[in-house]
Amino acid sequence: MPWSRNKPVVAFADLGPLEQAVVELLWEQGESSVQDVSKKLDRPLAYTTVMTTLDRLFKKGVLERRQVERAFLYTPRFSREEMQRRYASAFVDGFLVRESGEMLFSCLVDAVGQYDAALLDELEEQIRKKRLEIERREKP
Amino acid sequence: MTPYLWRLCCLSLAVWFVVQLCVGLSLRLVTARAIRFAERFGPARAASLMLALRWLPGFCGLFAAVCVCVPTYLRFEPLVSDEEMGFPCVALACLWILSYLIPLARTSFGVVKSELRLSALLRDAEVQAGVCVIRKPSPSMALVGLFHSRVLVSQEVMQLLTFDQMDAALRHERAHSESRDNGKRLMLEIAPFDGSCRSLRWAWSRFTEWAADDRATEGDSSRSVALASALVSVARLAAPECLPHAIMLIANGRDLRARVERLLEPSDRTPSSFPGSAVLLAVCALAGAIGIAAQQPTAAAIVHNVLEALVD
Repeated sequence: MPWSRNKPVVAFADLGPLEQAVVELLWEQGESSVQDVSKKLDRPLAYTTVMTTLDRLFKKGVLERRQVERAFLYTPRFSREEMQRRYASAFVDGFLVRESGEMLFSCLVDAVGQYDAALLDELEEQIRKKRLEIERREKP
Repeated sequence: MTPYLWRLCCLSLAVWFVVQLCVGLSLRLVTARAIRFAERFGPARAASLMLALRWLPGFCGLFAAVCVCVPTYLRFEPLVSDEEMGFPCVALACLWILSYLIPLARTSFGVVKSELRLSALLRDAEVQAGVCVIRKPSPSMALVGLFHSRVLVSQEVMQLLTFDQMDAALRHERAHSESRDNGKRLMLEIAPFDGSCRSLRWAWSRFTEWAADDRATEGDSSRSVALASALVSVARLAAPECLPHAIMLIANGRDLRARVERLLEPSDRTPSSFPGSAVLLAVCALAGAIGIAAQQPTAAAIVHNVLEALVD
């Protein structure tokens, strides 16, 4: 499991079906209690099952929670895109950790998640200009 | 093991380590120049030179141990002697063992870990035209494996790249495969500690990428543009919104920029041809001369005195 900022980041695809359903629901509904989640789930499930699932997701670092009176309110720690990006970055970083000797990979780009957006814009502009130049040259 | 052989063994390893360290540290002083010098021979040759330089201190140490230390010891050291091994000699021999053992253990651990991760990835992978498409959201494309290299592409990258971009990117990965770059990377990683500069490894990595880019594009400007845009697209897939490590970012950004600019504006300068056979011949001649000179009575006596000082 890749780690990011001292918290594990699991891939959405690695979560179980119920866990995925719960996270999807929280992405749609926002902050919810165990009761809210169990009411809105497609299939009827015991309160304790939902509570255990939410607690497991919290321990995996997928959800955050705060206590209001006696109940916990859960929210996703990351948006859908953010979760994918963080996992991807940690995952690829894991492959590229050269200090531990995990280096038997020749990647298309050296490391993911370390490029400045402004630089990428600039390079894309250069590519666009070059493409136009080639097109102009190839036209009779 | 008899004390005679034990002393020979310790002494040889100590000499090996000392020479390896001295050559490595000397190499450190000229690394930047060596990289600039290698660049003129084209990326593929430059990468080979970097690999050779990385192993040079180890080979010099081996040469000194086998061709200078062992013959002198056998010639001058009496078979029966009550001479004790000094602590520095034993310590240097232990350092030699560590200098090889640590990189080897770290690399073996990494290889096993990589293989485990790879087999977990490939369990869910779908093979399409010889390319393993992985379902996990890892926005990357890589060549994996030492002997049976496979190209691994994430679904995200498959969906993102156009046909031309994917074609150029696959050619790039196949160029790595044909050059056996993963094997060479392994050779670099298991190279012993010798105090030489880490930039040799970075330079090797950069030259290898450039060489794969050149082989993938074969001078075709459209393919070069397609590969450049594939690089930027894949890098953009996970470009972070905020960048906390400015120094790393600049270094990596410079590498990507250099690759893209090189693809878009290839240099007209033809790489100089590297006189490989002449260099090899010169190195062999020099080694032979040193080996023979070290066995001359006066030189051998001096070497023996130096070794005696090391043993004590």
